[in-house]
Amino acid sequence: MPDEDSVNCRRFLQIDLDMLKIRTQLDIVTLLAFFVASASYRAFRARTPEATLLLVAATLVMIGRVPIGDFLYSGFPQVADWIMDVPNTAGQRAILIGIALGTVSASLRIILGIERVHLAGE
Amino acid sequence: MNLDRRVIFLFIALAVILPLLRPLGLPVLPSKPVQKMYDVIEDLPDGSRVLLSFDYGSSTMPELYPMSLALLHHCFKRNFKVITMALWPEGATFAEQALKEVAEEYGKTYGEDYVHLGFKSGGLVVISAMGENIPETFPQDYQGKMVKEIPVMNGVQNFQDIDLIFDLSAGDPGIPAWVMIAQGRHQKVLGGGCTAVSAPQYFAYLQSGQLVGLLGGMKGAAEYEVLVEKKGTATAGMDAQSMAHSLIILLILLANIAFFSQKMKKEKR
Repeated sequence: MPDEDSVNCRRFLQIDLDMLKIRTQLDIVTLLAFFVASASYRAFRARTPEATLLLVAATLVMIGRVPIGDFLYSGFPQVADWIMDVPNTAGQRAILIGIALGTVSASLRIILGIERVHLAGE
Repeated sequence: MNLDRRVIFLFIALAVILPLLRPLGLPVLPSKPVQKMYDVIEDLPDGSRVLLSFDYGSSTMPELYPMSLALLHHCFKRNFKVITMALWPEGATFAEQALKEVAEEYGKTYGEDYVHLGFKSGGLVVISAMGENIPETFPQDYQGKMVKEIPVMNGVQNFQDIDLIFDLSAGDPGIPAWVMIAQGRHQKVLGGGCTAVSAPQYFAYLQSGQLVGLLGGMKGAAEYEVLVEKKGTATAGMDAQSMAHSLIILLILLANIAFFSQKMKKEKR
């Protein structure tokens, strides 16, 4: 069984976690909601076709991923799901495959001695 | 159109606070990945062993803690043997809190129906070691008792003795590490719960079948609360999130209307 000191220590750490760490971290994360709203108002503009595509997709996902989207139009969640399932997954896979290929090629360069910067070479 | 950011902050505050004070009661409908997760757990036989890993910290607690509670409700309702652990230090505390909150309601006893193994540093290495031997990886539980002497751990040697693993993940170590070792190497049935921000990157695992289900953010938690019929903070938060999202969309629309009208004026000149 844990002794009295460790019980007291644990109680102190619990208070520290509940009253200080959790509150502080939550406060910092909560600020994000305010800054995201402000930043999206200032920066999210349909200046180019790519930006327009991103804007439309983001708007559809944002509305489709909350209950009010389904309340307004039952098709919004389906559209949001399609965006997440198809273009998003394709993009994520492309990034993952890109990272894997990059890692393999960087490793090969080091193994074969082509890349020697880490050994102070050229 | 120049709108003072303090005005935006005020609107956001109101959009979040008002629905919390006066809920709108918008219906929450379970999405496919959440329904799949629920069905997989529902199909497990009584007495199955479920391992829950609490891999999150304070900053992601509002999204992942309600998820933890909803999952525990489901597990205890189905009389599963629950084993909890954490790869994040704070996760161990959240696991303890969640177990305290839910286990009593179902009359579950510590050591016989559930056990909390606590935190272990090492991420992927810990998962890999657990695949070989769980009691050696976690010799003592969170309370300092020898794991081998805890009744619920009788017969639990490695992942082969676990029926389902669910990872509540806020980053690294998290879902990718569990997918690589528990699913990839040991072919275990694996489910995941994550923050809304990180959900898009895990859809690839879902489609490939490496994850059997995925709970994304507070919405995923709210959907699971609806499925287990235990409405909690996630369901309450969905109205606030609906309002905040609507407001952000409205702000984006207003800003773009202003942007295009200015552009047209300039072109006319």
